[in-house]
Amino acid sequence: MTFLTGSVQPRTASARAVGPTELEVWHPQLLMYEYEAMPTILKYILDQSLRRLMRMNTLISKLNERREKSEALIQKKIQDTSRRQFFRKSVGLDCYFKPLQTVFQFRNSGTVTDISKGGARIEVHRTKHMALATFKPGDLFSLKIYLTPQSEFDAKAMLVFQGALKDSENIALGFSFQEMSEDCRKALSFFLK
Amino acid sequence: MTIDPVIYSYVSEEERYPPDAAIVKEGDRGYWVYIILEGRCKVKKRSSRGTITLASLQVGDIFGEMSFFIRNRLPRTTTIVADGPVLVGILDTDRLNKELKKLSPRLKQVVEMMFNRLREASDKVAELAAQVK
Repeated sequence: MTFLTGSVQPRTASARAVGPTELEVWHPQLLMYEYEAMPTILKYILDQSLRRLMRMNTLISKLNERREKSEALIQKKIQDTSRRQFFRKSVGLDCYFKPLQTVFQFRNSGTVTDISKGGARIEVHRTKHMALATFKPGDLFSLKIYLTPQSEFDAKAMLVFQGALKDSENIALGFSFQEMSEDCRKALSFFLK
Repeated sequence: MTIDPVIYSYVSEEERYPPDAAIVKEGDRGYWVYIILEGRCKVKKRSSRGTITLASLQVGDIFGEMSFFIRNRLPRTTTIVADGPVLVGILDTDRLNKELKKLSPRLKQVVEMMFNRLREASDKVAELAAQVK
């Protein structure tokens, strides 16, 4: 890279031998002579691509920084929401959940094993839902829980944990409720009494 | 911006595209190298969370070159969409190939390495952009 960028920029990365390594060292002057003598069209394309590569590398650094910040924020949010504030009721309710942010907006089914005013724990069969692997804490979902066969509960919820269950084919998903209608809130309060 | 006559001499054909037309599609096989003669284009890439725009291209910018320069001729890594009416020139790949053959093996290696890194970098950008979206 230093050669391609004209040797004026500092090294952009370190290269460390991970085992015994033999290298061939090319003299930059010789390579530069060949580079300069390159046909105009190739030099034109290469110069453009090099600028793109440098822009991409800068973008990668910036995006990495942003990702680290947003991960830290999600972790904080998860820690905040994981402090249980409400009574959790053990149940076995049918439910459906659908990711809101991904392009794959398919519906998944599962069983709610416990529920509170703040969130719900859902168990799903791991082989039935291969897409589960693509979900990660912080993702938003729409949840539909059947509190009774006649009473549906809908909420927007954030995934706060995901973990495989020992001695089981199921995966546990923890959701924290983010938004729900007043009617749903009342129905849930009544159900939890 | 006007195109250098030396560069323009490599244009073997010109094609016009309407707004939003996909000139090159990600995943397709194709080795044509294009240069924008009029208009602007957007570089788009699929990610796990939808399609993201990586860059904007303008007159004089080249695209489609990665599939040409990488030895094992990989499928197109991005989709190029016309951002308004666009006139593109298709570069004469036979002439480009002849020019490429004139390079020393070590310089060819440097060129290929750079395009491989560019491909990896655009994959990485798409992956990261999807994560922070």
